[in-house]
Amino acid sequence: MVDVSPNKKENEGISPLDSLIKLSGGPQDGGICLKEHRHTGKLVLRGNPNDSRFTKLVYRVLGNKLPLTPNTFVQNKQQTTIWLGPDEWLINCFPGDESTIENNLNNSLSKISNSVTNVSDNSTIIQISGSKARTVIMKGCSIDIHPRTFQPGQAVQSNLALALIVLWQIDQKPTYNILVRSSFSSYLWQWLLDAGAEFGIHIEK
Amino acid sequence: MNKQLFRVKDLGQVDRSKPLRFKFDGKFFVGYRGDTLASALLANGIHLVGRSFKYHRPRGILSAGAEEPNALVQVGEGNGTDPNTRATQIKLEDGLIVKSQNRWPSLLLDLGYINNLLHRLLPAGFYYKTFMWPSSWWMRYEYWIRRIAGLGEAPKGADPDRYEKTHAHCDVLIVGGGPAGLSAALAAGKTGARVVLVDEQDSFGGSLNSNTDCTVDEHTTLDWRKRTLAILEGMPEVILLNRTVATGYYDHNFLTLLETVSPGQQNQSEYKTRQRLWKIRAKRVVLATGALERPLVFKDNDRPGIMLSASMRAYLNQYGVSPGNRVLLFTNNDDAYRTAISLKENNIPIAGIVDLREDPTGELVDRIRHEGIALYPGYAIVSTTGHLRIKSVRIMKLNDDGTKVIGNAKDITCDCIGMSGGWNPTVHLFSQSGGKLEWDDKFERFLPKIANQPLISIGACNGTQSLSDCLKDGLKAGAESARATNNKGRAPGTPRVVESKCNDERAIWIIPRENSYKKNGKYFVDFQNDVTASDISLAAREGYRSVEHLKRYTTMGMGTDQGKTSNVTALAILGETLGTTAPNIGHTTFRPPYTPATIGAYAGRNVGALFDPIRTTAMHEHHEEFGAKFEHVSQWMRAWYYPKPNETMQQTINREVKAARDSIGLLDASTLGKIDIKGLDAAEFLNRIYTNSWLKLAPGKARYGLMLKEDGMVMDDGVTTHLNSNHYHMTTTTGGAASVLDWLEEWHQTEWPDLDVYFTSVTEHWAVASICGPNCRSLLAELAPELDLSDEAFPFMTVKEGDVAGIAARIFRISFTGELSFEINVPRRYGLALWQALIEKGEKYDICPYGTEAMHVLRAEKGFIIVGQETDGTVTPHDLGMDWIVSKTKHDFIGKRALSRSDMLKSDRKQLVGLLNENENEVIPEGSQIVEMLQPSPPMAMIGHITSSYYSPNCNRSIAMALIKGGKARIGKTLHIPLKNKTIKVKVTDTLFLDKNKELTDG
Repeated sequence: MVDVSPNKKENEGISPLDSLIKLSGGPQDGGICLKEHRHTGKLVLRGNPNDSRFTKLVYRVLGNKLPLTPNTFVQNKQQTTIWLGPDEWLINCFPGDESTIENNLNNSLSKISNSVTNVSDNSTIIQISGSKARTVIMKGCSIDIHPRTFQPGQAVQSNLALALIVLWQIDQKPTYNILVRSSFSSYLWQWLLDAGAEFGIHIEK
Repeated sequence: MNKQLFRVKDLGQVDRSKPLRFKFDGKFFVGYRGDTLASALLANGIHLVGRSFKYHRPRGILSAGAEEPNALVQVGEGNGTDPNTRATQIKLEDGLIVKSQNRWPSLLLDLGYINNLLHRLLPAGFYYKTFMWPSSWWMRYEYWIRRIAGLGEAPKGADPDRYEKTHAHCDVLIVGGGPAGLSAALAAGKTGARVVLVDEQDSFGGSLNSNTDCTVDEHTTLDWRKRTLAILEGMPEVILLNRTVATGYYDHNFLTLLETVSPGQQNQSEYKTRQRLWKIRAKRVVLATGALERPLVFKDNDRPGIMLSASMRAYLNQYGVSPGNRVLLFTNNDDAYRTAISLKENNIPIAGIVDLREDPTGELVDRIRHEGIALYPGYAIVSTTGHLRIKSVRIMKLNDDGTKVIGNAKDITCDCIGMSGGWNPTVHLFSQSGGKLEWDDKFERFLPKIANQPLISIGACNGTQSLSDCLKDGLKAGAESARATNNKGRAPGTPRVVESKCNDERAIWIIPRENSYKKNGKYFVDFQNDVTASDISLAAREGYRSVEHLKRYTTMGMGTDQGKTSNVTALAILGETLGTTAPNIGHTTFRPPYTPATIGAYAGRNVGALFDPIRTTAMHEHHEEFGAKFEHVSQWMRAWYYPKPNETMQQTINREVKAARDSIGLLDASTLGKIDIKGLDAAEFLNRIYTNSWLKLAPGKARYGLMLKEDGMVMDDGVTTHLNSNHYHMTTTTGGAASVLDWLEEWHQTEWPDLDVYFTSVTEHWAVASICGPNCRSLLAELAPELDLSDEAFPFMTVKEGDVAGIAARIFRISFTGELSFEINVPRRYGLALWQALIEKGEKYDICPYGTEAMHVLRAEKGFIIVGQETDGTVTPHDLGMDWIVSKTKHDFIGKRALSRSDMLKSDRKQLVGLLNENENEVIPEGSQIVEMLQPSPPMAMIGHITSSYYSPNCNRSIAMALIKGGKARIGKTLHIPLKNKTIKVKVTDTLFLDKNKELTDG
């Protein structure tokens, strides 16, 4: 059987935040900028990092080493690979690229214990940036993301308010990405609007 | 109107260019920016601010801080009002509205004062002793007791204010911004450490604000405070939080801080935060919480105008407020002499100093003598007069051991008393952190002894008295704490301090009576709860020897102040009564919060729409447009039923249930848990997890499975499909999705790590539309023309992949209704498009979306169970009549061993059966109890209960399922269901109510 992929109707699908993000705009100088990364490709890769064949073959497909340090990620032009557990990674790529990466991984790893699962629609990604981004995240997340302890390249799985998230820092602006389950995304979006309201929020389409 | 007759010219730190108008008990007054409510009231000559809890005695402002037991007021109006708030900690704002409490009709004339006259009838434990009998009367007593209990009034409606919460982390958290705390922050901050400094008052500085008789490096204490704060403000990693109480100290150096945001600090947005709860994790904590002055226990020591000596000094030096026109000081130590000197310097008349010590010496005493202030060494106050304000005192000489007064009495007039009975270090947070306290005999106080967390206590809370030692200890503790958190740097040099030395004190816990045979008058220990020295002695004599019992019996140390001014004194008195000492008595537990906190701050923004996440599916928008009513299934919001105009709920459900069997029903099944399982050993893993056999399930085929816990009880169920080689798609119940994934991971990681298998949650990757009914095959054929949907090509319990409505889909031919049914899975983003296509193309079949309620009826008609409804964690597959799903040949599976235990084999276990009642239109309430033998009234032996009960339009009658003891053997028998007003007779049947030959699944 051929595995299904959502590629066919790439532009017609609905992202869970579409109905909430009808309007873009808002003050540019408020300190908070929010944006949804719609429909990025997401794969969960599982395998044994102590098996050098596994890590080598994955390296060949992804073009970068698998992050083996807990709570880190590596990024290249094609995708971001985030450590989720000792044998679990999330690969986040451009919309539509997931089936190519999935097929390449499946072909390369066919003789090795592993699993590659397309979870593109399981969650969505909210990007938050600006001078008050850290303050807003600290309202709902118990992880210390002060620049002395959290930097671009680091990721963490935690709670933001009452939603489970994966959080990773992109740059020093600072810019963070928040991965949240699709069904929790509208709650989290509303929570972010509420938490950021005192500073002013700019929403980017 | 701006009289402020007691404001001293050019003294203190209030801003006299900023007058603020406020209202107290309906009258307008004026204070200044920088005032607290208490200092502004005192500036207007008002000492009387409240009535006491039990006796309704007039009470004045006792202190200038968190320990205040008397000056509790109701702040604000409407739903934003805040009762029982300490006037000593309310920052004065323009337009502040405040009311006194616990008085009726007014503060000056309070009818509750009758309790004071009846005090002999109201001893300790009065309520316990009086309302014990007859016990049946308690409900009546309670009504009246509740009416008279309490002080302020809680608002009736929702709190209109906005509360925020935030997490924070730091290297060094310093609690208390007095001299010790400020110098600790300075030293820690200089290393570059991440420092948080909190102080509960509006301005930092603590005693530096009022002890202005010292100098630091040739500067005034206020200058030093100002310069230090300026340095700290310039440090980017130092956070200064004033008006912030450290409310609780928990494990792992986790503390809660409650910040009250001043309206002046609000940003310009419309979102004004009233309070912010900080949940802070500190690597090191420095406690510099200071000390609280002890009142002295003498006859009628609670009259308005009697206050603590150091608080009096604070009102004078910090706020420029004179406490009265003729001030008497009553002390057992040197500190009150400093108050006297400050008063003298500002030309406030002093009636004298009454000192318990026989022979006070030292530079402060010499200065008083030199100034010509009347000094009464070895004297004590034996009584006071003045109803609404102290008028005079009577003093007498103490004997050598302080147990009696002797000689002639002398009366002194005064309108104000400053008293000092020594100091209690503020060890609340230290004790909360798990630290052990030690009794210090010399100054009769508890001191921090052994810390249980990475913290250090410095300054007055550690028993340090002199300013120079506080500064030195602070600098050292700050630098050491910073170094311990990998910040480098040395403590700045200790500043040079000029100050007066304080000497010993003489502890006399209860001032002796003038006439030992006359027992009138009250010696208050706990002002807030009206607990007197004799209440404590009485409780001890009645056998309440443990301090925790004493507290509960007398209410000593309860209330909003939690005995901050009274606990240690009470312990000492209890010790004296029992003939032992305070250290042998121990102390009551210090519990958070340190001062009362608003519940709103703990709720934060988890209110209204943000109270709990609401999870919705990809098709939610359509359900809303269709007018669906929703029900919460764990956090999911699922379509419950879709009423048409003028339909009752029952009519809607009947219509939906009929449609699903007559033509086509459409259900949003997206919320079911879905787990992707891959690996060479996937089948073996499933074989161990489920009760039935999985090794021979061919690719493309699906199978229903039951999961048991180790105890053999049903945990979850669902259909798992073999998609292709070693790749499975598991479904779970909606509520069980997360716990089943954890369950699989746990067994894999802890018991069977050797198995090659991986699990990935895909619950939300897929949106699922389930169609069922005789016409659903035709509908699907129209949307998926390339697929062969014939029974031969696509039999029951198989899967196919292909396009539906142009969307790549996985189609499962499985059924929860017993009808011909297809579950169409598409990536979430296309869920709504799929749904709309089904509705559109299904119109000619009168396709009918149905909700969870109709789903429940449809499955019950077929006797299918719902885990969590037919099961409750005590039900085995055999109890459910599902023996067919438990493999007898498998070597092992989770729960197998438990199923063979003797109790599991008993014939009288509760078993699932069907029930039919005589009245076919009557639906038995779910949860009803079932009996075999009816009795005229309860109790009756109950043999089971109804698990599911519905009206089935397809059976044209009501149907029910029940768990009944030995149910299988009772099939055909009649049982009874006694309800409140009637009894229902039921016949026991099997659980298959419809389609006995099971032909419907094929259409």
